[in-house]
Parts: sequence; C-alpha cells; structure tokens
Amino acid sequence: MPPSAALPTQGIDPQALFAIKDLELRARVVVEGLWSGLHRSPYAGFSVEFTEYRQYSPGDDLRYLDWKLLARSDRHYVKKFEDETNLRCLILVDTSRSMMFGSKGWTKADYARTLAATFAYFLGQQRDVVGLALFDGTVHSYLPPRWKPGHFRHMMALLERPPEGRDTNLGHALDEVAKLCPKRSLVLLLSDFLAPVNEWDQALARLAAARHDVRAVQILDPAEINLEFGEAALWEDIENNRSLYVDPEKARAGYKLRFEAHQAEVKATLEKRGVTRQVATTDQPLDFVLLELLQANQARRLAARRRTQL
Amino acid sequence: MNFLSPWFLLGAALIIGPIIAHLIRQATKTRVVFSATRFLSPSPPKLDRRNRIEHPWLLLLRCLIVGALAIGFARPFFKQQLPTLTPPVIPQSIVAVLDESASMQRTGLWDAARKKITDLVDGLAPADQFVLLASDGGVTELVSHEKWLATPATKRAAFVRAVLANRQPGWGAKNLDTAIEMAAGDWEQMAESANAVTRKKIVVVSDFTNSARVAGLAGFPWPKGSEVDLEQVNPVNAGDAGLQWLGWSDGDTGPSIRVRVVQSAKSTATKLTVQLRDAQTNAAIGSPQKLTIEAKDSQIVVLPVPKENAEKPLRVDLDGDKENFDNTVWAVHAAPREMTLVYYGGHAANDIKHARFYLERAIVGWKDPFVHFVTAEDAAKLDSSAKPASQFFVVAGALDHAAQDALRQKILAGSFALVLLNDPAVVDTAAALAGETGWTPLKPAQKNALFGQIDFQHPLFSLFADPHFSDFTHIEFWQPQSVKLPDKSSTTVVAHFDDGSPAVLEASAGKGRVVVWGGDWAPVSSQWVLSTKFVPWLESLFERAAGGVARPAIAEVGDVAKLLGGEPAKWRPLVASADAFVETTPTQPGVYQIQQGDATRWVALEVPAAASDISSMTTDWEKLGVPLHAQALTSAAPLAAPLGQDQTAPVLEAQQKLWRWLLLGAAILLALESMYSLALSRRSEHNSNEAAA
Repeated sequence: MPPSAALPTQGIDPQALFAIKDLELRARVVVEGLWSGLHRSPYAGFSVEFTEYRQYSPGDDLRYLDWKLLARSDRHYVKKFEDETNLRCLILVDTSRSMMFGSKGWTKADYARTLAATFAYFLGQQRDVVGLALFDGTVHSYLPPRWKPGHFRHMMALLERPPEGRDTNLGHALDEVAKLCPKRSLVLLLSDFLAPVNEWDQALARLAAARHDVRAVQILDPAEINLEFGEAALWEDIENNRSLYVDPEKARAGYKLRFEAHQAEVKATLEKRGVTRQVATTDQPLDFVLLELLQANQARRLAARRRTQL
Repeated sequence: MNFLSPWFLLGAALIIGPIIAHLIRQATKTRVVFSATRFLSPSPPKLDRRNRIEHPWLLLLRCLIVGALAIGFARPFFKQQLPTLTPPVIPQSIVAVLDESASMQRTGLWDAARKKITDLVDGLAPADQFVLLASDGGVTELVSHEKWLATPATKRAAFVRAVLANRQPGWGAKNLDTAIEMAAGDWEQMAESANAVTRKKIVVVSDFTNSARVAGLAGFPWPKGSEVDLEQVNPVNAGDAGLQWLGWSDGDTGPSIRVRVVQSAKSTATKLTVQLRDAQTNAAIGSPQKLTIEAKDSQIVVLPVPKENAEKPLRVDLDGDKENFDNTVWAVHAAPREMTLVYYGGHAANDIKHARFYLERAIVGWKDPFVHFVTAEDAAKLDSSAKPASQFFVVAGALDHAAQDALRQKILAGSFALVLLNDPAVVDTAAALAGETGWTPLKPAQKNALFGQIDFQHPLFSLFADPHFSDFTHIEFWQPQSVKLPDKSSTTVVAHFDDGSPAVLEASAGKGRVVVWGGDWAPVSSQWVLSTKFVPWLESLFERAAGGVARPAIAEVGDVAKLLGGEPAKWRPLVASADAFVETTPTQPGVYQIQQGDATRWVALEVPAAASDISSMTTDWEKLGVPLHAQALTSAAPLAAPLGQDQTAPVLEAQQKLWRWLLLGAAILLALESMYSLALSRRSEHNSNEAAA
C-alpha cells in the first residue's frame, strides 16, 4: 500500500487556519492534526527508524540489544537504526515583495511563514535542531540551527516580524546561506521561484555542492497558476512597480504558456541540482503539504538506501 | 420670453464643457497588483465607441445648471402690458445758489443769473421744494424752505421774483465751496422733512470765473443721490481790466501808492489811464498816468502822493475799461503810533553800566510804535496833554514821594512803567507805583541767579511761548534783586528766579500797568540786554503799552476782522456826517472811519483782488468729487410720460424677477448633482475595491 493512500482525505481548511492569528498556535494545530492522522496510518515515522539487525559483539551498547529476540531465539542481536543523530535543519523563507501577493485573503508570505513554523515545530517535537533564515535581496534575519529553550519562540518572533518588502535576489541569498551554514544540513527552501532561473541556478548549485540536503517548496498563489484573477486594468508589478494594461481574459492563454515554461525550467533546474521540488498553492491544506514533505523525505531515504544496497 | 441682458445667454455655450468632459473616456484608474507580471503581455485597450456619453443623467444635471445660470443672468421676463396707471410724479428738492460776488457786477451777468433762477422756479411743480441761497463771500438765505412751503404754490414764482428784484451783486469773494456745502446741508434738511422720495439737486448759478473758491469741496461727504447742476451765465463784455491794491511805499520825496493794473485774457481795451484822486472831493491829485497794457498782461503803477495829501483818504481810478466794478482802489495812510520813553535814573547817555545806554539803542529803527527817548528832566518840558498810552516810563532808581505820586497818576491814566530793581531802595518806589505796601527787598540765594519758572501764558512772555524760543536758561543774573510780596498782594509774578523768588512782576494800576524787573539790565548785572530776546521782548512791551499790535488800515471787503483786531467797532462812511457811526459792518468798498473805544481812524475796504481774475474756471469738478448732473434741469413731467419699449423692459423684469427662480432652480440642481456624483464616486470606489480583492 503506497503511503499516499493512507493520507487524510480532508486537510485543515487554510481559511480557518489563517483565521488563527498566533503563528505558533497555527503550527501546533497543523502538527497535532497531522499526528492524529498519522495515528490511524501505518506510516511509521521517519527520523529515527529501524533498518536491520546485526549480531552482537562485545562493546555494543546493551540498550539496543533486542531482548525479545534473545528470549525467542537465544541469539544476541542488536537493532541497528539509521539516523541516530539529531537532524540539523535550516529553513529558508523568502520574504521578498513578490511573496506579498495573495488572492485568497492571505499572502504567499503568510503561507510560507506558517509552513516554516509548522515544520520547525514538527522537528522540534523530535528534538531536531532547527535554524531559520529570512531573505529577500539578502539574508536579513538568521537564527543558526540549535536546540535550546526559547529557540522555537525566538524563531516564531522572527517569522512574525512584518517583512520589509525588498526585491528578490534568490541567488545572492543562497550564497549567503552557504557561508552562514557550513555544516551539512537539511535546507528547506520556501519561495515562489518566480525570479528568472539563471539568477539563482549557480548559487543553488554551489549550495547543493556543499553537501547540503536542499529541498524546495515552491509556494504559489492559485491566481499565479491560472490567472483566474482581476479585471481589465492597469496591472502593476508588486516588485518593480512596472505597470501595463492587461485584460486577463485575453492575456490568460499566453500567460499560462509562459508560466508553465518557467515552471518546467524551474523543475528541470532543481532536479539537475538534486533538489527535491514540491509545489504548494496557498489554497492547499498545510498539513497536506507537510505530509507530502515528509513522504518525499521518506522516499528520498528509501532511494538512498537502495542506492547503498546496490 | 424676453431678456433684459441677452448677451449673458452666451454663457449657455459653456454647456459644451460638461458634454466634452462626459464624452472623454477617462483613463482607467483601477490598478491591480500582481506578482508575476513578467509572464503577462499587455492587452490592447477596449475599443469603446467615442460618442458614448458616460453618466448621461449627471451630464443632464450639469447642463441644466449651466443653462439655468445663463438664463438667470440674462434676466428674463415675459412681455405683457404694464398697468396703465399714471407713473408717480417724483417731487424735486432743489437748492439754488446764486453767485453775488464782485465779478457778477459785470454787464449782463446779473440779469442773466436772475433769469436762470426765475426760469428754474417757473418749471417747478407744486410738490417741489426750493431754497435760494446767495453767495457773496458769506452765504445769505434769500428764500428759505419754510417760506417756500408757506407761500401758496401759485404765488411762489412771483415771490422769488420779488426777492430777486431787490438784490444786487455784492463785493465779496467768490467762495462757492462754502455756499455749496451749505446748500447740501439745506438739501439734507429738506430730504428729512420730505415724506416722499424726491429728486435732489443743487443748482449753482454763477459766471464761474477762475477766482471762484471750490477747493473746500474736496473730500466733502456728498449725500447719496446728490446732483449738482452748474448753470453758467456769460457777460456782455468778455474782457476786463482791474486795479489791485499793493500798498504804500515811503520814499525820500514822500509816500507813494503802488497799484497793479491787470488785463484779462480777452480784454480789448488796452489804452488805460490811472488817476489819483482825493476820496472826499474826487479832485484829481497829480496828472493821470497813461498806460498801454495788452490782454493777459499786468503792470505796476506807482503814484506819488504829495505830503499835504498823505493823511487824506485817497482813491485811484482806472479809466478806459468798460467793466467798472474793479476800477477803483481806496487808500488811507495809517500814521505810526508815536511814543515817548521817559527815563528816570539820571544816568549819562554813554554810561554802559546802566540800562539807559541799552534802551536808547534798542528802540532805534522801530516804526510802530515810533519811540522817542527823553530823560525825566526833559519830560517836564513836554506837552502835558499827551495821551497816557503814548508815554512809557522806565524807572532805574529810587524816586521821592512827589515824583512817585506824579508818576502814579500817569500810570493810573493808562501809561506803562517799567521799574528796574537795581537797588534794594527801588523796591519801595516799585511798591508805591503799583499802589501796594509791604514789599520788602529779598536777595536771591544764588549770586548768579537764572530764570527758574516763566509764565509763557502771560503777555509779557507770550512772545516766547513757542518751544523754539522759550529757553531762558543761559541768561545769568549776577546782581539779582527780588522782592517779598505781602500775602494780600494783587501783583502777578510772571517769572521766578531759580530759587523761587520773584524775578519779573506785573501790577495793574488803573488803566496802566507797572512791570518790575528784579535787577539791573546793564551787562555788569546780567546778560539780559546782551541776549537776543531783549529787543523783541522790549518791543512787544511797547506795543502792548501803545494799545496792542499795529492793525492794518486797508483790507478787502469781507475781511474786515483783521482791521478790528477782535474788538467791536462802529463804522462811518467817508461821506456821512461826523457822528453817523453805525455798528453794521460795511459790505461795499470805500473809505470808512472806525471807532474803537475812544480811538477813531480811517480804514479802506477794497474789492477782492481775485475778483479781477475773470478767466474761465479750470477746476475739474469731478476730481473734487462733485456729483455733477450733465442734463439741464427739467421738471418731473417727463417721468410721467408713457414708457417706450426700452423703458418697459426693466420695469417688467423688476416686477417678475424670474431670475430668482432660475437661481433657486440652479441651486437645487447643484445639490442633486453633488449627491449623484457622490453616489457614483462611491459606487466606482466599491467596484475598484472588489476588483483589487
């Protein structure tokens, strides 16, 4: 049975979720809901997982000796776990002006912050160390990954800070992250990736080359995908204030073509750089997105194990 | 519908403005903010039909507002027949000013002026009011408002004719401004007493020569609705030559009279003769002087007067001119007042240590009064019948009782005495002359005393009352002598030394006065005689002793006040009997004898010199603010005539006042337009918000 079949069929309505003003509470609601869903699912978690048995040899920690197997078969086996050490994760959140767009009553930035908070809370529950970097043109706020009391609240405070709304420069931000976080980490990149690919491709390549496990969540507004939005008027770009007269009815076909081409280019670039890509629209329940993110992680691990066995 | 001001209908063309504004498609103001415009391509704007009017109801309202305003300003009215009521006859209130000044004596002017007035009165309706004033230097009310109202309407014209028949032009100046101002005052009184609305007018009948004084009208607060009508009368002879009095001049051979002969611009009589005559007998004195003076020119003529005729009243006649009113000037020679200064002191004439030396030099050159200096010793030889006012006594030493009594009697009779306290012993003499006792010598505290307090209101020092001349602080007195007056003394202390002791005193004694000076005048005693104030002070004292400031003997008619000096006088014409003095001030030029108190003297009254300036008036009446009425004065009858087409329109418009309703309609439409615009604006705002969401 594929893991997706076990996913909850109804997620948390984003409208109801964003009615909650407190970001931490919002994250907790998502994660608790996810846990209750997981309880009914055979999905076995991800971070600390059983991989195989191996014969006991003197010196091994007796805590990992499988006592039940010893009683059953009178053989000494030790359980072997993967990823015994805590996960080190850095969440990169795009706070540029393009993220201020939202056609549903909340913006992509709201969605990204909530997703970042949710993910941080989830990892915090597993005592993983989580860091946070907020960027627009540069990394303007940075909390290094660590585990200490109050760290999570500090992250929430940073996420709740109203963005200054500068232009995006994803490439420059990724280069800065590579310098700020030299240790190998799981880097979760939350952005709309609307900037031209050539502006950030090389930087992403450098980040991936630094042995970071980079995963991208492309957060898009539904209106950006299908242009079911607005009226014939002067359309003003949120980043550079450029104005042009657009009738969405007439411009929709061409827009979709260009946007899909961009998406394809983004996808190809991310895959080329070994970055897992996930698209999340702001009308999508957050717990789904989180779950999908976790499943992608699981799949990635299985693929890695297969590669190891081969 | 007709319009009173149809050109305002052009304003209706402004309707094109709102129409154009509604036809022009406004550029879309809706703005949509989007994050991925770089994937968008611009769309061509929608092709709307250009002739489609946006918000037609709003446009209609705006057009109606413009139209209502344009029609309202054009003052519409509906043509209809005016009620055939007889228009009300508006009564008139007229004040006529008849110029009776000297220049109106010219041939033909007076009859023409009277005819103007009678014609004016003949044209008045029974309800009209009328006042007639005469201007001859002053203003005389010939027909008062009350008299006019009291006279039956049918007899008013005859009454005015009777009044005018007894009038003749006078000899006064042409002070038209005073007369017109008074006419305005009368006119206001009439307006107050009138029940109905009246047409108000001032009619001035005059020859309007350049000698007329109208400057007083500048800034005059004319009552609302005032009208001034100027009715000019023209003389038979356009030209005139006149004589003007200039004055006496004294030469070595005797006095002479100076007169000026002036020719008017249009004068044709250039050959003239000036002859001096005895005013009483009209006998010619000397030979006539023949002159040739061109028009607009003038010439000074000097007429020598033989010494035997110098004291007689004289006249100078100008012959050869057709207008005689200004051809004679009258002259009397006022003899200077002579006074005798009697000096008591026994000092030598060249003794510079006493006041005599300085007194004798101070009086040199005085003409009026002309002062002779004599010592007390010589005075005994003089005529004892001399007038008291012609004697002035200076006492510079103590006198014995006999001399004191004799001097006291003269002072009581009207003489002035000046006592110099050059010795404490003189104090008793001063007290005796003042008629008081108990004066004790008092030595001021300082040896170099100064004047401390001076009463500049007193005639002794009033000459120096002006702050420019009132500084006495630099005059030192090294040998001051003061007196202590008894409590009941009536003597006035005019000046004090700086320690407060009396310095200059004046006591009244009978008709005369005693002035006491605290100290000697010689430079060894004080700086007084060396100061610039000494001679003027002394001359004013002598003038006072002689009876006051010298008064002129010749003045213009109407300006007799300067002859009299404020004192009442009785007048006697030259040809009247010796006791025919009357109190009435004469109004004709000539020689008169006036009696003031006991004194009599000859004076002459002249025709005002300005009266000879008969050139046309150059004053701009409108610049003076005079509300001139250009049309000739007419009765109220034309107002009652049927109104023509042009005249009915304002009446109909004023009755109907349709413009009020149009303005009201415009205001209501404006309110509706505002509300409708507001609703549209809110709707548009709502739509754009929705679009942005």
